[in-house]
Amino acid sequence: MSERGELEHRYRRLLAWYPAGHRRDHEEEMLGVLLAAARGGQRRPALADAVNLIWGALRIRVRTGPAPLDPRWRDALAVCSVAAPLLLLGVVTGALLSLDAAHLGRIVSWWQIIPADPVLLGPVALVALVLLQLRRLAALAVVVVTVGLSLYAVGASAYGSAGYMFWVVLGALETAALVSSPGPRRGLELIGRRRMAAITIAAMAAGGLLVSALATPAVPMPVIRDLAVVLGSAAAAAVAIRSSAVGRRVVALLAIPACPLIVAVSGLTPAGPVTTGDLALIYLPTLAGLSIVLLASRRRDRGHLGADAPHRPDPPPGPHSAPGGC
Amino acid sequence: MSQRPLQEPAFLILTALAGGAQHGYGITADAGQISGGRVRLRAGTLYAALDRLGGDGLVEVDHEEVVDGRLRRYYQLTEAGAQRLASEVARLRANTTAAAQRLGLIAGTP
Repeated sequence: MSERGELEHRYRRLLAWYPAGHRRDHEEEMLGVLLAAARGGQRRPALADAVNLIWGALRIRVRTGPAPLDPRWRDALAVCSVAAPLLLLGVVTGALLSLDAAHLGRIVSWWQIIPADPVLLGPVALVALVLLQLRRLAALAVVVVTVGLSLYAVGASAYGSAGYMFWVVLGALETAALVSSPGPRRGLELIGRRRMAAITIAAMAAGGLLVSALATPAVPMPVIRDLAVVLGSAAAAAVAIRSSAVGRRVVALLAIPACPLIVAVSGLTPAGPVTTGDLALIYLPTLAGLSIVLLASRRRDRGHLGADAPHRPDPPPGPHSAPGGC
Repeated sequence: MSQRPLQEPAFLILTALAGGAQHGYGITADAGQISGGRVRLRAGTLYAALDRLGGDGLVEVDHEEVVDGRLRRYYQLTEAGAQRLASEVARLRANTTAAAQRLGLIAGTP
């Protein structure tokens, strides 16, 4: 490769830091400026130029914000904004049934339990807010509850518990779903009443009925219960919106909160004091799942610059900029 | 609402374009001359500033041409850009005049 070609290649690698839309509009032009300013015989970008390009790319990325979500992911999040509160409802139902069956030998009703444990009102209230399509109020409620739960978990040194991790991640998922998607209105429209009923029943049935069949002394009952709810609901969602692009994404999203539970059920985390290894086992799969979904949910290409400028037909060979998109 | 002062790269770019449309490398060369060689606008700084100025409607693309197989895009000042530069000049002038008066650098002042 010639000196010029090598320098150009290296500059292109640095320009890859820029958002796709900016590259499409300005890469060739910027290369022209960079090569015009290069010294004769120069093979590598000067360190100052490299740092300056990366810094410039970061500034533009910060200014333009994250890439818009793919519409299929937006729809999937809209479905999750409805499904996640139902999961909570299922988990709480399971908790009530298993607690009662285990300790009281009988099943008591919601209205008997709630006065004794008002925190259980949270999921019920959330489901009500979501079904009433009060998106902002629901988002505020979830943020408050999730942050409160996180603080409590840290204060009680329970942050290594798969159960808390599940609640916190589910709360974060619901917050993201309410904030970055068209919201419960779209979610309810996509799910439909029958499917909605199917998911609700699956969540509550999984929470309530599978507990006794799956619980063993080695695996704590709450973990089994929560996992059963998540997997049951994910399966119900998959069947309900089967083989659709949105349905697959819903399942992927709902699987994220299940990660810590799966790790706990697998028996990899021993009982006793929480070690760094335990924390890594619980948190890393969750973070990995989240990262994969985040990466997949970004559009590969976007035109952030000149997006609001008049559209011009595709340019002749070479890059192109809309008026004002500099 | 009072405007925030222009940062130096933005000020130099607008000043360069006040003399007429220029392409990217022309702007960097001109900015060097305007600043008496004190400021060297690197490509990352130039295009981050152009991105912001374009987004604010202060500069726009004038025309494009291909030279030696390489694209050149010429930018020009918009009317809003000219007004912004003029108000910045007035602001700087008021400040420098006040500073010069206090330092006794202007004849006839204490």
